[in-house]
Amino acid sequence: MDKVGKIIKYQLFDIFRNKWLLFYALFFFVVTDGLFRFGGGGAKVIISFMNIMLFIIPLVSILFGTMFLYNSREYIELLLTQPVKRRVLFAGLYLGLALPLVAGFVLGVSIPFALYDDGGQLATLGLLLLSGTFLTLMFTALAFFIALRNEDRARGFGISILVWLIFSFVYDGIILFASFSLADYPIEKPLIVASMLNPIDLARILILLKTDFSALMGYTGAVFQNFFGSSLGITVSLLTMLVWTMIPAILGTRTFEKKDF
Amino acid sequence: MKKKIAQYAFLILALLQGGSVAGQTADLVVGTDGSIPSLKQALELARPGDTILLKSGVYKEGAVLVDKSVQIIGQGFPVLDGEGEYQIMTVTADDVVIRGIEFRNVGVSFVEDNAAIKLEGVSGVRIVENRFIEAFFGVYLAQSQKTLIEGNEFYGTGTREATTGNGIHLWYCKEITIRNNKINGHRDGIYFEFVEDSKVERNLSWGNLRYGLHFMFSDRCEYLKNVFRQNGAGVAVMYTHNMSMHDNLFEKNWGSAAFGLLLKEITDSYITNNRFYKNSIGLYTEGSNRLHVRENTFEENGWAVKIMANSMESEFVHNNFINNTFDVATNSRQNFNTFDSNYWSSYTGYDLNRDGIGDVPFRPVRLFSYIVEKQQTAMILSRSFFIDILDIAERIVPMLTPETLVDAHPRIKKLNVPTGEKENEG
Amino acid sequence: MRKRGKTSITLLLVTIAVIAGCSPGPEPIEYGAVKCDHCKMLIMDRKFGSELVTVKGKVYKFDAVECLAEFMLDSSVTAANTHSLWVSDFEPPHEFLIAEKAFYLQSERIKSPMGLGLSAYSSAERADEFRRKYGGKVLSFEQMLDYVRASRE
Repeated sequence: MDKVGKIIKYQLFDIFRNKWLLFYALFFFVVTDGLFRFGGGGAKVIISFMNIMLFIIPLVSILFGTMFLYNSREYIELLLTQPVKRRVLFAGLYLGLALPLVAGFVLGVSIPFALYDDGGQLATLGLLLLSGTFLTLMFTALAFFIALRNEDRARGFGISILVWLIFSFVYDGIILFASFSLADYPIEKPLIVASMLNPIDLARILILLKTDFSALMGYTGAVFQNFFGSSLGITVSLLTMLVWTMIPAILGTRTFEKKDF
Repeated sequence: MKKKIAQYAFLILALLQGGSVAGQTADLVVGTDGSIPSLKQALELARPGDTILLKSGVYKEGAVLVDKSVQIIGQGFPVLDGEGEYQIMTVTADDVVIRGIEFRNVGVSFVEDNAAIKLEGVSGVRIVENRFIEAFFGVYLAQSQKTLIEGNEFYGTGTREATTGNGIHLWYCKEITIRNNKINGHRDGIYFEFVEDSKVERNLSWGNLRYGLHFMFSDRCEYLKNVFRQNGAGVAVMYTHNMSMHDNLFEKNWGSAAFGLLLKEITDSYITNNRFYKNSIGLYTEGSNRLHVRENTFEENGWAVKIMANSMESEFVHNNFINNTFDVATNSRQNFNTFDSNYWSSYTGYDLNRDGIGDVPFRPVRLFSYIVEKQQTAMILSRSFFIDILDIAERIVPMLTPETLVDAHPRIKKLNVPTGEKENEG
Repeated sequence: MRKRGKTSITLLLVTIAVIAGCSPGPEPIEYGAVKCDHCKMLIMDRKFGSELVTVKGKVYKFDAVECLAEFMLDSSVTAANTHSLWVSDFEPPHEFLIAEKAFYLQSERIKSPMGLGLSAYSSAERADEFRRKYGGKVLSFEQMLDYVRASRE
């Protein structure tokens, strides 16, 4: 564990030197601040912010992750000559990127919230931060996995963007198509399952259900509320998020352990 | 006629000077200290035209039948208690006046529509300034006419179960006026079934389980200057013609099955100068034709207007649409209704010649709201990136949303439309 | 091997979910929270709640027997696509009855939500007992449908 910490520490220096993290945090700060300032208060801010967050976080995480791994190729090779277990090295590299991203996001959002909100949206803010954190962890891990599996940079980036597109765009298209072609069936319950298979959708639905907006989702919304509002629903969604983070992280570690640099 | 005037004079006197004067002019006085201990006894003694003064106290007399044209006036809000078992008062005589009495604990029955006051086949009755606490049904009018219900307060039990009836319930009635009442915690605040030529004015109906106001098969009625707030599902007008609805406030009727105003199979009606604020659906119309929707304000609703394909020849003119999540939704590519000269806060066009009218027509139907009307479950995709892209694409190249559902003269500035609901804030 | 295990577990979960969602049968009505699929009114009264279940397992909910009947007459759900029809017993505890086997009382004195005065009972005897109290006519399922059809003319 000590060694993981060392690698993270070293990487942090590197990251702060590059200042991009600052921009990332600043971006969230400006967006949240602006939404509070001009978007009125409460639920509307949450929903608009959610829109942006669900778009930006997966995209930035997966692109930065991919880029980081390709750019740090020599650095990684150097570290590999040291007496460090590969598993430990991977964890250090991964957390060294993902944690600053999480921190930038959390700080950027929390400060305006603390300034403007009277605490009425605290639970929703918690949910926003939690889903943002999970999405960062998951998409960074995915990026590492993709970059490790593809020697060719262009190909790696291509796949990363494709994966992002699938999660944030194509998947919803398929759901829309399915809900039309299966209109004669009671598809509410299968839809709950389907929405959990995509962490971006899961985060979006959890947050929407937390706001007034849920009433607009009609009967389907009520069915979803029944499930996701229950303690079973909350547990299952948290577990799903966790699994979604673990799978790419584990796959990444395995690839890293076996990879011939 | 003279007798009527005398009655009015008496009422005014009673109001102005309270019980002592009333006591002198009353023909019969009921009270624990008086000579007549019960209302039933007084009713037996009374002759038509008499005034019965009911002194304050709690009266548990079971079911009381009023079959003579008398005035029953309470002094200091006497309580008639139904002990959770009875229909309290049944009126079968014309020209009865009931004023200043508190009715409590009407018997709940799963078949009988027990009421605090039931009017059966009467005319000219006035029910004024009474209180109804935990009445199953408050005032129930069956086959009655020319009756006034004014200034009463109704507080139902307000639980979710169907153990509460309607505050004011009309069945086969004509020429009824319902004015200045406050109704809370009933199933429907005010319910009309087979009613004609009646008026509902300046009432406050809030927190009722189903509808604040509900019309079924009732023609040529008018309701105005009412406030309908936080009712289970809002206000419903169904299978009705020639309605006039104006200057009302429909507010905070929010929920997955709620709306401000539901219209089903309504024709030739006017909806003017109303305000729809924070309802999950402001105005929902199905199978409704020739509606004139003018000078209303729709603000911060989930949907301002949902208009189903079978609604035709209606016009939406000079309305304000402000900050609604969706302005207009429909389930058809066809449109047989007119939208013109409204103000839309989501309009992004410009006005180069500065005549106050946008130079680019406005299409209030977003692709997503069209999709959702076709398949409700698609609502779970709301606010997703995919839907945003679809909406933008549709806005640039309209393919699915109704081509003719366009406001060709969108107003640049909010229209100054008067609404008369303000004076009735509860 | 482990990877394949995971995939099959996922598949299994999906299948279970799909099957759980699809086996046709009546669902409890959330009174006070759902709209009638025919008249769009909020379903409030346990004495009258009704359902139509399709072969594919979709459940339509109604606030009154007459709404169920009108939906059957109007909608695109054909008899062949209908799995089962359910009406609430007018008597407490208002359990679901198979609509075709229930008996109906049409009485002016029983105020059903959509004004046709229809209520459902578990047997002809029960229906008749209410008829003696409230008047009207006891109808079979078919007669009830005819009554609704005629009332729309």
